[in-house]
Amino acid sequence: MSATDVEQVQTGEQVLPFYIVCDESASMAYNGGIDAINNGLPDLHASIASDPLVNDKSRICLISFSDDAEVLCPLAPASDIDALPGVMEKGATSFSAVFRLLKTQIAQDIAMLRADGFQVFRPAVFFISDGEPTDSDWQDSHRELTDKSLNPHAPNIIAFGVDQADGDTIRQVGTIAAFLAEQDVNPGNALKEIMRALTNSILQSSSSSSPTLVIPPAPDGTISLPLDMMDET
Amino acid sequence: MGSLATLDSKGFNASRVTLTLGIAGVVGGLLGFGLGEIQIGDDGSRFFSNSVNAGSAVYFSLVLLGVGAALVASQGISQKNAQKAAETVLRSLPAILIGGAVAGFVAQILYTEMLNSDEIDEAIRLCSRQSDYACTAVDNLVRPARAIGWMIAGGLSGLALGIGFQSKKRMQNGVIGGAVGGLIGGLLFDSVDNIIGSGSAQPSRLVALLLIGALMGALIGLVDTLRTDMWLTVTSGEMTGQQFIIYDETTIVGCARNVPITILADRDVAEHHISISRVGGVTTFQCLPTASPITVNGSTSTSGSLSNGDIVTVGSTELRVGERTADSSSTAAPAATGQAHSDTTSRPDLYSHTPESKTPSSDSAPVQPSRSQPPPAPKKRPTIQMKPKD
Repeated sequence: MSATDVEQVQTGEQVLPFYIVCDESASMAYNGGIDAINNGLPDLHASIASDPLVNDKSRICLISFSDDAEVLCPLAPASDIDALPGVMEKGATSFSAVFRLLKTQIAQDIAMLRADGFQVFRPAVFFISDGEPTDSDWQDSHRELTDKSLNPHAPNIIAFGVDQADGDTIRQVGTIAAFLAEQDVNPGNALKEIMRALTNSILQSSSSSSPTLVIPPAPDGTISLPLDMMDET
Repeated sequence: MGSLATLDSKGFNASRVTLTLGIAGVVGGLLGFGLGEIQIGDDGSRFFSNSVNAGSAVYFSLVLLGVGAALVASQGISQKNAQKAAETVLRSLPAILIGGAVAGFVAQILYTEMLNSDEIDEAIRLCSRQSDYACTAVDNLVRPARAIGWMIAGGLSGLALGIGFQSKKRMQNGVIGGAVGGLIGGLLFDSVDNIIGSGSAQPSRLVALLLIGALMGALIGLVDTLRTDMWLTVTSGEMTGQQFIIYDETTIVGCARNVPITILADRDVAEHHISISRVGGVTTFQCLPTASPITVNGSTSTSGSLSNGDIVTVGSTELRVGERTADSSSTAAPAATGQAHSDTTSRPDLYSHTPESKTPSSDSAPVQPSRSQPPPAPKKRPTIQMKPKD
């Protein structure tokens, strides 16, 4: 099974849903993260919407999280989006809240796309955070989201960590790739590069008639983290 | 972090301290009841059954182990700092156990001395004649002795709490709050029994200990609040909204779990980052060896003075200094030197209805914590226009 395996054999046009998940904790305002993401979103949108094939093959959803999680822009083709709510500084960093939301949201979106006759590839989540989770039990909700035996719609997660984010945590969040900004790189600049890498990944993944998730190379100023390997036993 | 909805944006959230300790006291009462039942056998004390004083010492020791441990642990738990909770409990354990034993022993002696058996016999006879099965006449004789016993127990439990935090002021607060809470709880103890009216004494003991625990916790919290002169409010980072009372003349701020003010989730904070000293109403700070300088209102410094409204950045975490001033008309503003904190220009007065941003006011009679400041306008989520399609 590839990273973008079709969840179920269906006829119809193929689409690859992308979920862009952004940390809105208070620290994101101080390190330039909020601005970097908000400034990067129009470029990301323009790149996708201006390429008809990419636009047809991809669907974009924007989710933010802090004390709780929120769908800022429901899953839609980029060309259908004229404006979207930006991310804003809020409070804490609840990973559980966003993992729970992702699980229910992805299930709903897939059901809707299928009802419209689409073949849906396994969704990709770009997860961006600048700090340590403030909830201690986030691993449980992460497992419920990503374990394919518990969640048939388990997405592939590419995790990006900047500023105070811990490498071990980001590595655990990412299921197929994880990147951590180097400590001497300004977090705002790192996030600009991450938004660029994320855009390129969506463009490359969706530029053929059969979308295939392309994992981006490590954005400038970040390092690629080795993911946890499962034991053979 | 929890919601900030109940917080005065600049003041001190007094009710949270009282509520936290009150809830901890209830939990402690439950624990204390469970532990105390170990000592209560079918025919009196399980241990030291031949000595009522020693038996009471064991009972109080076990009960206060539950109440005291819960009160001591509450701060660490509320800060999601399990290590701090465990360490403070361990540190205060000897004081709780010894204090409980002393309280029980002394209380039993006083209780026995204060009771006149002839008066009690007469009261029982009176109750029988009047068919007063609750026998309030006996309760009235027993109540003062029991109240004094619980007052001593409460005071010593509060002392143990202060020892757990190695804080002289918290010891004082604990003794005052714990003693008053214990006294009120002790006065109500027999009334609880009458209200419950169960055939077994167990339900009455449970409710009474829950009540005593809650009163001790809430009153220690109240005394803490009333005697708070200075506090820090975290205004950025993952701990936004968290408030720390500065209890003692010297307070260490750092990321270590065993310092009075622990800042979590900030790699730029050293284990022992700064020391805050408060002597004669003047507050100064000193960066500790190996710690990076901090900024005060945007100016980098390794030592200096602090006053109400100052914005201090330790590592990457921003803290606002709060100070209760004797003179509510004081309007000394922080030396805003660059950072966008010009809104923080007033001294919040814990016991004034005067809006914080206002100047002279002499009619601010002590009533209750200030809540008159309108809440900050909620931030508005930006709308991002997409670039026009080609």
